[in-house]
Amino acid sequence: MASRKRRKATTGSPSSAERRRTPRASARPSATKVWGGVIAAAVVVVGLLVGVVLVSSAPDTTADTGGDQVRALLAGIPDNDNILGDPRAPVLITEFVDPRCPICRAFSEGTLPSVISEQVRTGKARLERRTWSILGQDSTNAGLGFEAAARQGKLWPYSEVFFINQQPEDTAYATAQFLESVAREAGLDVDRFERDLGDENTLAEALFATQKTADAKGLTGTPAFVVSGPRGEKVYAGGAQTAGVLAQAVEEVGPAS
Amino acid sequence: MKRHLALGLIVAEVLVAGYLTWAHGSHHTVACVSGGGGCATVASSSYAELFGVPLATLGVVGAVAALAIWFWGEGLRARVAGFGLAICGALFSAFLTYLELFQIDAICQWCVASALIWGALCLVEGLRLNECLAEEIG
Repeated sequence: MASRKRRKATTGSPSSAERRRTPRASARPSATKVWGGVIAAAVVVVGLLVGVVLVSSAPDTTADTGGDQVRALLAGIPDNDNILGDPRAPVLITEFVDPRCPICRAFSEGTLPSVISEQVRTGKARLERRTWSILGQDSTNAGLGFEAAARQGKLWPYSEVFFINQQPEDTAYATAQFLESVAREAGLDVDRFERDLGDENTLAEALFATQKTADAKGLTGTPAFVVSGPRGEKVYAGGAQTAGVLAQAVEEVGPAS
Repeated sequence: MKRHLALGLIVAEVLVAGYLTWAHGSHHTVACVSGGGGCATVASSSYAELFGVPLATLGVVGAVAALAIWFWGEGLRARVAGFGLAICGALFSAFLTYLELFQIDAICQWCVASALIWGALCLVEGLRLNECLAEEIG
């Protein structure tokens, strides 16, 4: 309707009102300027938004929490050559973890405290953690940190602090700076950790050895568990297990009561 | 016709972004129509939130703003605003699709649907602006 009126007006001679509007009309921007202005403004707005998203999603470069929590969790438990628990405990629970695996982190947060209190502190079982890096290059980098910590006999506090500070799986964050901050928070000798981290080939061999063990056991993903005792061995090839399942396995392979 | 098409696209975006925001906020797994878990992977990625706010909320806010502009009217300013918002949505959706393909390595069908909606809205609003400019400026 309105456009029809406009078309009608253009066919006749210009009215006095239209003549008065002419200077204003000429001051209007051209169509090209409107298009250019809108598109340029949109590019600026989206550019700012993209910048904000990229900055806010950048991974943390340091790990600075969890040390006290982990020390409380592991307090008083013998830790011999990275095997947690009484060396005389008849059953060995071996956990295969990838440092960047979120399910491994969930197991550490939700289930491990129960396993420690029910199996390890009671002397029924010992806990071993093996580093099985299967989630890409950043996972291998993180795994080298796990192996460097293991050289100090500090794999358990290190890996637990790492899991507490674990970043989203789609980010690459296992830089030397991040690994060293984990070592510091976990109470390791950081100078030695840095030196050991430089011995990359030897650390990688340790990772490779675990890879071969995992293949031999037919493991399919992390976390995986192998529960071995005098009455045999139970293999959980991939996926977090509950404390109840592991307790049952300890009963089944442990000494007959 | 184009005005109604724009309204349909805006409502569709409100529904898609609204569902993603609801699923994120209520910790429901995003239903991936063809399976594969891509939606869950994207929803749990580090890019799913912006300062603790689900990124899908931006889609809802954008769509509601587009709705408000739609009700504003048919004038040049409304069409400039409508096209400006739509092109922002389309460009930002293209960036999010890039993140899915090359950073997250997973595709969420809902996000693809949202990107297509913003792309289509950009086209429709562009045509509407073009018509308006032809009439008003010539």
